[in-house]
Amino acid sequence: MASTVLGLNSDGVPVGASRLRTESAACREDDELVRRLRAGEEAAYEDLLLRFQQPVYNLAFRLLNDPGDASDVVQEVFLKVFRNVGHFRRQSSLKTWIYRITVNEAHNQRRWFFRHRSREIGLDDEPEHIRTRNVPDSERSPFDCTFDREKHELIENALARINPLFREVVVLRDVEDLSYEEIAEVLQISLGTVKSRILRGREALRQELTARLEPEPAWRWAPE
Amino acid sequence: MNCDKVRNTLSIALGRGLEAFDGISEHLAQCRECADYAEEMSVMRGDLRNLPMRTPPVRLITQLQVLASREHMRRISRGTLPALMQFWIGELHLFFDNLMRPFAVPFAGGLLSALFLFTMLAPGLKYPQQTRNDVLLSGIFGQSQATFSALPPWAFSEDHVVVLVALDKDGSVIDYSIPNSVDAKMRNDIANTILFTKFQPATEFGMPIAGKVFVSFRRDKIVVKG
Repeated sequence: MASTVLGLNSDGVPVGASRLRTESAACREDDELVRRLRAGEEAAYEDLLLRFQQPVYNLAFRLLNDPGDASDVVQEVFLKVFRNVGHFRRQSSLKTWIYRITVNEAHNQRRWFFRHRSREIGLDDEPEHIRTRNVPDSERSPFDCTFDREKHELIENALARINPLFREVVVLRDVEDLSYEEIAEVLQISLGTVKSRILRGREALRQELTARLEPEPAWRWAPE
Repeated sequence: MNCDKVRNTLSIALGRGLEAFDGISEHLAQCRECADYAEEMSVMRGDLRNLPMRTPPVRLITQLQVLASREHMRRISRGTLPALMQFWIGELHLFFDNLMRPFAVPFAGGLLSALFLFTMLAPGLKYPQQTRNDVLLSGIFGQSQATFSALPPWAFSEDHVVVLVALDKDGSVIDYSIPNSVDAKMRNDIANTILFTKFQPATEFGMPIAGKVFVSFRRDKIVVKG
């Protein structure tokens, strides 16, 4: 997959022509979708949901680590998108704009949680994977499936434990695959801050994982 | 290039390719710790990228579709100027309804209480009725009695006498008949009395009409029989 070098981004790194073409097509698609939304086309609402409901839910879930809170945030996000699409000034891509709303709503949700629900004890504490139905993959062994699931749980738990500011940038960069510039737009911070937070976030995540993966000693000396 | 600088740069370099950054590959080839660090970071990034996409619950998808439908209808209802006007008129109407609702129950209660009290008290109220000049209800359907309202200041000295007096519609005496047994003096007194008496004519449907009246004279008082 060779890509023709066309230009450099803000880091001085070459950007391929194919990626630029893809971004340009996405921009045109965004513009068309926004135009249809502003015109009040019913199908445009459905298209927006089809295109963004999963990424937005995924991002909200990674930021909050709770399916119920993530659902609330997703509804708030789409409500704001529907109502404020007329004010979208196209200074960033539609995806970046929606992600920015998602991150802000996740902030609000987290703040609300710490104010109101931090002392509540949920009755339904079973992990989500027990409640969801997993379709078995015939090509992989049960051991591989279990191993992957445990690994994902380990990473998600570690991700949930690091500082929310670092978690945001790590999720946006490594899970959602946003560029540094897009992350800066989403979070409304400078590019340098983005790089710094990514560096510290990854380091925090690595330390968290390392601590979790350290083997427990088989026996300990105990004072008599 | 020292280890700290390499580790700081690795964060960016892993995403963009180590070749783009001078000196990092060489340092990693020499430093075992930094190479392990780079390997860990690379694996961790790979694991993060391979995290499964979370699928929104079916209930959330349904709620989002309902939300989209509502917002679409909301946009339609406010899209054009007439629709917007209609919307605001509805909102205003609702606002006033809500504004008046707190007064509705006290107002209705007050009105009902007032009606109840009036109904209870009305039969006990007595108003002064002036029936003297009223048209009698029986006069609407038939001939009522003629009456008189004033008598001259003198009285009579004889016994009981009944006189028939004919009146016109103005209450003036047209004719009268006195029994023959009455003596001349008393006849004269009765005639004077009748002439100086003010009569009120009978009425029919509220209008005065001509009629007759019996006037009874006694020594000490006058009795009128119609």
